[in-house]
Amino acid sequence: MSQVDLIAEKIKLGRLLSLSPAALEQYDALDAATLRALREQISDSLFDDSRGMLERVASASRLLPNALVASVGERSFGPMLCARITGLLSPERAAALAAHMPDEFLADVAMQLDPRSARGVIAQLGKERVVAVAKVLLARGEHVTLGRFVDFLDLDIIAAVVEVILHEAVLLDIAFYIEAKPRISELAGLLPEPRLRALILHAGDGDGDTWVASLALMSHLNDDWRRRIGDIVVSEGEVFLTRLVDAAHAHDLWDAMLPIVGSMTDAARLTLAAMPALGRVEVLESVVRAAHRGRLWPDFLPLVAALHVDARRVAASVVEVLPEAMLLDIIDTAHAHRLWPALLGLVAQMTPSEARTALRLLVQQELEVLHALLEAVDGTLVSWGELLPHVDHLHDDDVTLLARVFEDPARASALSALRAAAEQDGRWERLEPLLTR
Amino acid sequence: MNASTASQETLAALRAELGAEPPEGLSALSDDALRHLLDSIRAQKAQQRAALDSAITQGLTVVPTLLRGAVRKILFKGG
Repeated sequence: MSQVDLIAEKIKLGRLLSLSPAALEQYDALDAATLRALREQISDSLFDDSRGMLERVASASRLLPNALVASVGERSFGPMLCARITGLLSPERAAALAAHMPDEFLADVAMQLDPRSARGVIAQLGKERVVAVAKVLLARGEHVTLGRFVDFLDLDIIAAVVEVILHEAVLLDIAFYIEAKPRISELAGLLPEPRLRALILHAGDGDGDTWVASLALMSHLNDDWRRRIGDIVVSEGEVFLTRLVDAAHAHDLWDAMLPIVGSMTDAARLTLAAMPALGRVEVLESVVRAAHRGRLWPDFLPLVAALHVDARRVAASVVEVLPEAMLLDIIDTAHAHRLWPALLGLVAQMTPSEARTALRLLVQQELEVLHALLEAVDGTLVSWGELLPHVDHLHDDDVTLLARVFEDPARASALSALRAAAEQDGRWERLEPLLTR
Repeated sequence: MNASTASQETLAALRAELGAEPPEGLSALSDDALRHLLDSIRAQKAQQRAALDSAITQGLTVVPTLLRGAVRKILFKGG
C-alpha cells in the first residue's frame, strides 16, 4: 500500500475512535495494511460489545410502525447507533425505515456505517435514493465516506453518482479512499474518454501531492487501462510529459510510473523516452533504484530500449556499476520476458572496461539462455561490432564459455557474423582459438 | 517480537478487547502508543454503551403506552 493509503487509513481510524489528527500521530509507526486490519477489528468489536442490546432493540422495533421507529431512530438513537443496528435488520426492513428518514440523516448514518454490514440495504435503497444521499455527502466534502462505499455499490449506481460529481478534483479525491483497489480499473471504465483525460490533466495541474496520489492510484489499474492512460499522457505533449518526468523524479515516484511505461504502446513509450529529462543521470539513477526496489526490470528494459542512444549510454553508465545480484536480476528478466534486444542494446552502450561484470555474468549463463541471447543478436539492431570491444576486457576463460553455444550447428550463422565483425576490427586472432575449439 | 513486558501486557489486554489476535504490525508501537490505543477503544465502547442506554430511555418515552410494556419486555428480558 502507498503513502496515500496510509493517510486514508489514518483518517478512517481517527473517525472510528474519535481521535484528533494530533492523537493519531502516536500511530505513525504503523503501515496502511496494519491500520486497516486494526480498524476492521475495532469496528467488529464495537459492534459485538453492544450486540446483545442492539439485537433486542432491532427485535422490539418490529412491534412498532415503521414511521415511529424511524422517528425514534433519528431523534433518540442518532446516526451512530442506527448505523450499528442497520446490520441486524433485514435489508428490506432497513430500507423501509430509511424511506421515512431524510437524506441528511441517512448521510449522517452512512458516515458511521461499516459498509461491510450494509451491502444488502444499499441494494434495497434504489439508485435515486443513493444518489440523493451521495449528493449530501458531496456537499459536505465527505470524500472518505463516499470512497468507502464505492467498494460495496453496484457499478450502475456508481455510474449515476459519478455523473453528479462535477469536478475532477473531487473524483480523484474520492478515488484515493477506495479500499478495493482492483475495482479501480472497473471504475475507470465508467468514465468517458474526455473525462478520463480531464482527470489526468487535473493530476498534472496539481502540486506534488496530487501527483503522488494520482500515480499511486494509476498503479492499481490493470494493463489495459495503464496502456490507455499512458497513451493519453503522451498525447498531451512535451510540456506535460516533462512535468510528469520531473514530478516522478522529485517525488521518487518511478515505482508507480514504471508499470505505466511498461504497459504503454511502443509509440507512446518512444515519445516519452525522447524527453530530455530522461537523459539526466540523476533521473536514470532514481529509475534504476525504483526498478530494483519494486522488481520492475520488466518495465525498465522496454524504457531503456526506447531511449535515444545518448540517454541509453547514460542509463548504461548507471547499470554497469550495479552489484552482481542486481545485474543477475536484469539478465533473468531479459530471458524470462524475451527482452534480450533491450538488454543487449544497453550492454552495447556500456563503457567496455566497466561492462566486464555484466558480460561475464552473461557468458556464464546456462546454455539455453545463451542460445536465446544469440538469437537476439542475430535478429536485432545490436551488432557484434558494437559488442566486441567489450570482449577485450573479458578473461580468456570467460570467452571460452561462449564456445559451448557455437558447438551447436544451428549457431553457425551467428559464428560467421561474429567472425566477420571480429576480422574487420582485428579481434579474430584472439577469439578464434577460444571460440572454435 | 521484542516487546517489553508492559507492551506484552497491553497487547494481551488489546487481544481481549478486540476479541481477536491484533495485527502483527502493532509491535511497531511504543508502550505508550499501545496503551493509548487500548484506552481509546475502551473509551469508545463506554461511550457507545452510554449512548445506547440514553437512546433506549429516551426512545421508550415516545413508544405508545399500550406497547411500552411489550417493548420493555423484549429490551430488558421481562424487566
